Amino acid sequence: MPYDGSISSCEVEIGENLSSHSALLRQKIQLVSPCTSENSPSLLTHPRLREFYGELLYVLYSTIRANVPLMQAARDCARQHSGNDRVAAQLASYLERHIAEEMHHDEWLLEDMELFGFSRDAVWKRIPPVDVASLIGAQFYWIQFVHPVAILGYIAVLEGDPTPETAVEEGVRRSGLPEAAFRTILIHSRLDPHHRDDFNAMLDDLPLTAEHSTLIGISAFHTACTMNSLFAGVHPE
Amino acid sequence: MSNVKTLSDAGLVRPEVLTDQDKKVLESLSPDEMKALMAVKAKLGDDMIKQNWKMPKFI
Repeated sequence: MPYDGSISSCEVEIGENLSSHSALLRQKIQLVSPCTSENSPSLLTHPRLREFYGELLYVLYSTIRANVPLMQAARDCARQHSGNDRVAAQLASYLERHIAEEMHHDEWLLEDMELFGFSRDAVWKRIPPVDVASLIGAQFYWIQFVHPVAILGYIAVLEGDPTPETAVEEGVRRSGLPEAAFRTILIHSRLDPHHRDDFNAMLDDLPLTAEHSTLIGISAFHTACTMNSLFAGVHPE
Repeated sequence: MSNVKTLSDAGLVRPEVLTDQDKKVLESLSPDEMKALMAVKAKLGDDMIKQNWKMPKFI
C-alpha cells in the first residue's frame, strides 16, 4: 500500500545538547561512520589513488546518476500529500530547489571518466555493484511506501561532510593525474558546504514527528553503512 | 533496558569508549532505529569500523 500521509503528529523531543534536528541527525550518522572526524584523511590523498581513481569515479557515477530521479520521485510523492502534510509540503519545496542545483552532475562525472579512457557505452553496459542497488532501491521503497521524508537521511550522509577543496588539490598533486579528471569532485567541494547549510536550515524548520525522525535516522544508518561497504571494495588498505 | 546496555550486551559497542554525548544520542534512538543500528553495526564489523579513509560523497 503506497504512503497515504498517515504518520501521526506528536513532535519529536530533542534533548538538551541535541539542540536541533540537524545536530541530532549528524550525531546519529557519526555512530556508524567511523571516519567522520576532521582528522581522518580523505581517500583522495591515498598514496595509491592513481591505481583506483578510475574505479572510484565509476562507483561515484553509479550513485550520482540515480540522485535526480530519486529526488524527483520524493518530490512528486511529497507534492501529492502536501495539502494535508506540512512536512511533505516543505520537503517538496526544498527538493524542487535542490533538484535544479543537482541537474546534469552525472554528465560531468561521465566526462571526467572519459578523460580516463572510459567509453560511455562501456560504463552504461557495466552492471553496478549490488550495494548501489541496495543504497538507491531502499530510498525508492521508503518514499513510495512509508514517507518521502526518508530521503533526508540519504542526503544528510551524502552532502553532510563535504570533501575539503584542499584534499582534492592534494590528490591532484600527489597522484599526478590530470586536474580535469577531478572537476566534478572539486565543484562539489566548493558547493556542498552551502548545500549542507541549506539542508540543515530546512531540516531544522520541519515540524517532524517522532516517526519522521526515526525514518530519517534509519535511512541515514542504511546509507552510511552501504556507502562504507561500497567504497571498501574500491581501494587497497 | 537502556540502548547502550542492549548494544553492549550484543557486543556491538564498548561503553568505556563512548562519550557522554554518544550515550545521549544512543539513548535517544527509538526501538526501530535501534534495530537498524544493530543490523548496521553487525554488518560493518570491526574491519569496516577501523577504516581510516574518508570517502568523497556528494549528490
